[in-house]
Amino acid sequence: MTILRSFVRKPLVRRIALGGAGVLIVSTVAVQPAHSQFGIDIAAILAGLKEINSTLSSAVASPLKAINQVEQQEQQFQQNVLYPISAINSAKQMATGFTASFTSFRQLGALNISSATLPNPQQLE
Amino acid sequence: MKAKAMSLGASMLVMALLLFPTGAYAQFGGIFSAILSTITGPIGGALTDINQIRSSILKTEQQALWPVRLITQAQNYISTIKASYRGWMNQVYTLPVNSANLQMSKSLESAFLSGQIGQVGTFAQSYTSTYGVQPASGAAPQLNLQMMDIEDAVAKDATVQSMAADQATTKMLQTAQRIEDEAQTTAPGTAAMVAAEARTAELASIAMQHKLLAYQLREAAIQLGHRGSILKQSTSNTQNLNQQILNHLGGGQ
Repeated sequence: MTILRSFVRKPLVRRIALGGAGVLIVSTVAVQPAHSQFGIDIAAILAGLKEINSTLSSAVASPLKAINQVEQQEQQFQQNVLYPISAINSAKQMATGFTASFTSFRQLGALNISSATLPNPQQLE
Repeated sequence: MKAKAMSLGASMLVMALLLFPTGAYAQFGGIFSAILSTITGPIGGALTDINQIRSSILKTEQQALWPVRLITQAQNYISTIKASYRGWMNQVYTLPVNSANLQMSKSLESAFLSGQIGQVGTFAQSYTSTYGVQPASGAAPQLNLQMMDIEDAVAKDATVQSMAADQATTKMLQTAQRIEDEAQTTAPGTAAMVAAEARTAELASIAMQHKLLAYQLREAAIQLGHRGSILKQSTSNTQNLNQQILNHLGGGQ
């Protein structure tokens, strides 16, 4: 113990010890991975993001895909059964075709059919 | 010595701080856990519910509201109805009802049964040929001339009106058949359009019926007027005759 104290008290040894401690501190700080600086663990964040991605795929994307399928079935049902474009066009063509008929009805209804010849009957008519 | 001990202690403390794990990982873990919980719970659960509801709606539409089987069945029903009655009804509509024998009356009948308003000229000529021309002014009392004129006019007007109605009826039947054809292929979503056209045609048909009914009323009124006029003439003639008898008997004034 005495030998050790006397050894430490030597200026050269003290300098070497202090220098070694400084080097140790600096090296400890310097070799710390960058992602761990300031307490942020990027590996943990990446792992969390992967977990979120996986969860989004299963818990969100899967129901959305199912909804999309149902919506597509609904669209198909509407296009093929409820509102087929052919039926819409056919109904519109029919309505257009009836325009002439209804005009004809109006003309027949407004026809001048008077035929009296004498003034008083004409007035009465 | 003291400074050396302090520097050594400080060095150890810095090393300990840098080497031992910090609380950062646990902090992010909590955030991720909350996000995952939100995704799987409120978001994922809501999406699943939405999917179930949409599926249920689609199922209701396909099985309860608009089953394809029933739509096809209704369309087939229309086809059956058309096949069973349209041809027969068309025969009824075009059934010949003419029965006149003489040339003039046959011509008149042919004109007013033509169902063509373009035949009005022919009809007017045939009417005159069949029922005679209006006497010239002075050939008969003015009252009689007027009665003849208005009654001819009413007869001709009503007949022309009926010809127009026949023509409209032909068009209306074509319209009805077109609507029926359309109903055979229409879809639930376009049925309202077809129904609107049918209702429009129905209104036009009712309007034409009203015109004919109005003309029937006018004819009845003219007949009443004719009857009243004859009574008035008869009364006037009787008064004239009485006056002449009184004159002959010397009691007249």
